[in-house]
Amino acid sequence: MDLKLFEARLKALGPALDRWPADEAEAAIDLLSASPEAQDLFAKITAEDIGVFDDPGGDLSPLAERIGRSL
Amino acid sequence: MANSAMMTATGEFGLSDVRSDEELFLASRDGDQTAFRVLVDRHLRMVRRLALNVLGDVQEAEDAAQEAFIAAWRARERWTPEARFSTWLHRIAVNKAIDRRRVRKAVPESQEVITRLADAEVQGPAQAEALANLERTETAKTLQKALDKLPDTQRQALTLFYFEELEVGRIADAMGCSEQAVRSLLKRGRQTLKTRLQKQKKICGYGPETIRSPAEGAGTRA
Repeated sequence: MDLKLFEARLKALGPALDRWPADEAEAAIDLLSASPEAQDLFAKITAEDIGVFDDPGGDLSPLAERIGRSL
Repeated sequence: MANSAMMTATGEFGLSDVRSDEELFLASRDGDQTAFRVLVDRHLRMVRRLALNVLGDVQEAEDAAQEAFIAAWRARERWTPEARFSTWLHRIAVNKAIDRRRVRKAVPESQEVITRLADAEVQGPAQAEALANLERTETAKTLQKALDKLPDTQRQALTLFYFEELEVGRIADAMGCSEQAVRSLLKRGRQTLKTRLQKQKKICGYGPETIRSPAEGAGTRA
C-alpha cells in the first residue's frame, strides 16, 4: 500500500483499522511503521474524526494520573 | 511525577495554560514536571484515540498511550524546537501502538513460527513427500512442545525477532525491557529450542543445524 491509496482508504473507511478488511489493515500497518508521512496523515484523519464524532473515551483523568505516576 | 496529586480532570488544566506545546515541553525539559502534565492533559485524548485506531482495544490503547507519554518524557532531552511537539508525539504514539499490535499478533501466530522452523528442519536430501510431511509434522509437534515450555518472554522475543523481523531495540520497546534483556531472552530461548531439537535428532535422524543464527536472518541486530 502506498501513501495515496492509504489516504483514499482512510477517507473511505475511517481511521479505525479494525473496521478495515484484514489484509488492508495489515498493509496499512506496514506503511505506518515505515512512513512518517503516513503517520502524520493518520493523525490528521484521526483528529478530524474526533472533531466530527463524540469521543467515547469518557473521563481520562485516571489514565492521566497513571501516566503521571509512571514518569 | 512527584506532584501527581495535582492531577485534575484531563483537559481542564491543559486548556487553561496559555503556553504553547513547545514552550511547555521546553519547560519540562528543564525539569518542570507540571508543564509535562499539562501536555498529558492536552494530548491524552488524541494519543489514546490514535492507539485505539491501531489496536481496536481500549485497554491496550490506554497502555500504548501511557507508553507513548513515558517515551516522550524520557526522550525530552533529544527533542528540538524545530519539530512540532504534537507531530512528534503522535508519531511516537502510532509506533507504540504498532509495536503492541505486533506483540499481540505474534503470540497467536506461534503455530506459524513452528511451521516455518519445521520447514527448515526437514529440508535436505530429497525425500518421499509422505515422509517429509510426516517428519514435518513430528518436528512441528516437537517445536510446539519446546515453545510451549519456554517462558512467555522468551517465546515472545523469539517470535518478534525471527518472524516479525523487529530489531532488538524495537522488541525492547515493545516488551518494556532493555536491549540487553532481549538479547538474553533470545539466547536462552534459542538454546532451549536447540537442546530439544537435538533430542529430536536422536529420534528421527534430523537436527537443528538449519535453524539460523541472528547473524544470518531476520532482526540482524541481535
